[in-house]
Amino acid sequence: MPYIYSADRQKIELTLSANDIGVRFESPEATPRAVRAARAALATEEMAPRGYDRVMLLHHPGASRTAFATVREALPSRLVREVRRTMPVFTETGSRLRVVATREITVRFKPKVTERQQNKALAALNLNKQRANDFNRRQYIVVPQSDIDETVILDLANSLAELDDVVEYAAPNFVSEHLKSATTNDPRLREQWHLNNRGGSGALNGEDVDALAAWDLTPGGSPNIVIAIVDDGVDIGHPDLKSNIWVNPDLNAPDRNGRNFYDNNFDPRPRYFNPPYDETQFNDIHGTPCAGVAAATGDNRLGVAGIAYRCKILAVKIFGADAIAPNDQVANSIRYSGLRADVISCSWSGAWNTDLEAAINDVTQTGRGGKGCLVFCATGNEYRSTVAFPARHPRALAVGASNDQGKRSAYSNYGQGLSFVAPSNDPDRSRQGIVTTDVKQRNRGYNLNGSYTNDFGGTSSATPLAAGIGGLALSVNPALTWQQARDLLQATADKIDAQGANYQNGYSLKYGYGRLNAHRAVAQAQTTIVRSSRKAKKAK
Amino acid sequence: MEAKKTETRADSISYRRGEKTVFVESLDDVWSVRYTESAKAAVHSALSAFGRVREIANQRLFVVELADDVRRDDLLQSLRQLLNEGAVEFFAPVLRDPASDLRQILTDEINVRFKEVPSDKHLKAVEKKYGVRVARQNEFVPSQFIVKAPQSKGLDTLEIASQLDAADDIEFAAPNFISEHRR
Repeated sequence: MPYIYSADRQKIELTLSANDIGVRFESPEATPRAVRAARAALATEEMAPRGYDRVMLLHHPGASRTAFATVREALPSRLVREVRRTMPVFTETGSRLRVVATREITVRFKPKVTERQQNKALAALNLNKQRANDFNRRQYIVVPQSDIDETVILDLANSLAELDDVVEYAAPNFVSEHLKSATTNDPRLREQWHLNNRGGSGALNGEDVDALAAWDLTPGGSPNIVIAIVDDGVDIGHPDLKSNIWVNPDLNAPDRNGRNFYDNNFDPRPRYFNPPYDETQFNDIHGTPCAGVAAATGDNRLGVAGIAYRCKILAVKIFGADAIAPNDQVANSIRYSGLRADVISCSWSGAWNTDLEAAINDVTQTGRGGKGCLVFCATGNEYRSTVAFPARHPRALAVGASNDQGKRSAYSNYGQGLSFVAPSNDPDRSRQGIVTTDVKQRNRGYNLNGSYTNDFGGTSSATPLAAGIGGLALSVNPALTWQQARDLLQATADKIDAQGANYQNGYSLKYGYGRLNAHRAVAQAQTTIVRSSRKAKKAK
Repeated sequence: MEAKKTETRADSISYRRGEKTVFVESLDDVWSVRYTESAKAAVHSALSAFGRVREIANQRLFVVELADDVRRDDLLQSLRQLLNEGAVEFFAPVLRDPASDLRQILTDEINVRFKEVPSDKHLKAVEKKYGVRVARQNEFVPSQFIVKAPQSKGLDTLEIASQLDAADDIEFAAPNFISEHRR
């Protein structure tokens, strides 16, 4: 049976949740302890207990029918003693968000309604004022004079709202679940499903890297973290990239923003274009979208946001249109990146190369002051069950692709050595592409008519996304070694496609350790800070 | 880089790298040629008689794909003559990595990392012993050098790289291929 209440002249429909209860404690201090205890006792990851002030939202099958039994199962007896009452939980039909009914109603009286008139209206419904609003003198929290079932609060609020000669509005003062709010003002963020997949177009809600929740913890990461995009150049003048392009603090150094190993100079911008101008194999159009996925400027009211939208981009050009390059130059581009960057993103593959193998060893040993750079490499798009080189290097982080339905993208190479996957396109199953920056020159790029494309993809896109998540983790904990960062990225990945993946001991040949989860990775990195500092204190 | 013909010889060729043997395949009908700058036009003209010629300008390379009606021996004879005249520095068949199916252009360059930074005397001894010339020191790794196999033709570079790789004072040596990559 739906429950209805009125808000702002709209009827809001709620359904009583059978599997959720609200738990009110005597003191606010009990709530976080209860949340921790309940999380350990009975919660699933998706519906973990949440707490606010004196209220905990608890999810458990059949909880509404066996409220106190659920509480006793979830909490140790010392916390059960602190429970004042349990309360019903409703689900809002439109948003699917949960709300906990309390005994409180918010009411705002119309202007010029006297206090006597206010009290008379409340008394007619057996309501009392509990407290006035700090910011509006006509607004109060009111409560029933007697102990009532919270489901009745909706009817009481509706009755109060109907006194429209004195009442401007009245609505239950729910404790409400909210969507994460750490979004940015980039107008095309809503199209960037890989960051925040809201479903639609056949996509499945939540099949993303949980970027918004990660940004709650570190909004776009730190400008102290540098991500090298080693590719066919980066359009460093792109309006959505330029403020995040690394600038050499040494004014006398020739590499102002990066380096060009292809032409042996210091201009890392795309340079070579041949018709057809939207084909990767003839044009320098690949590095710019990669850079955007990793670290396009965010919260700038423009275009898109990179996952690490406050980190810096080091532009390193190694290819010129045709992606043919000497082995030593490719290897040296990695070594150069290791001097300037914390994270290295390689959205390409090649034949096995001794010098490149050595270079990855070099930067994971000497980069970041000996903590080692994180080197992310694409597994390749050849529909193969082997991971391409250099992704299969034991010190590289091999990135495959998953689609907007949480399945492996058909083309994504997999097999031994795959570290994890990250969201990207999947044209074989008509799944969505990735929206990112594109070279801004007219008639050049994947989208010949603009500075953005919605058609990027492949493990080429998954790799800078993974690199950006690595950048976020290092942003909150720059002390991590490359192995620690790798381990936490793997440990916090989501085990997607549980039926098809065949995870064994947490590892799948098709998904590696799963799909990267930026929020959990950052949270884990922060936890590592706490542990490190505790150890340091003990050591002292 | 699109080969008109991608015929592969049945017998794979290889070079040694540490404990392993690296196998590559030869695309006999696709050849790479490094020209000298002054002879660029003449070399291009000569090669055009044998098939489609493509330039990789930043490497001073032509890649020639033999036309169907051309004999390989005729091309090789012409290349030897150009080598003797000093118009080209080396020529070699384009190779293919069987694992990735990507092409690798063999050049006269070998990438050598010594176990310790070598002295000038040490380098000269290496040059003399293996018939190579030290071309440049790696910018980032002082113990690493590019050495050249002079007057290189065919698969000489692979053989010399294998010999260097087996030396006690050398950490690794490998042909400095110009490699095709996938983006």
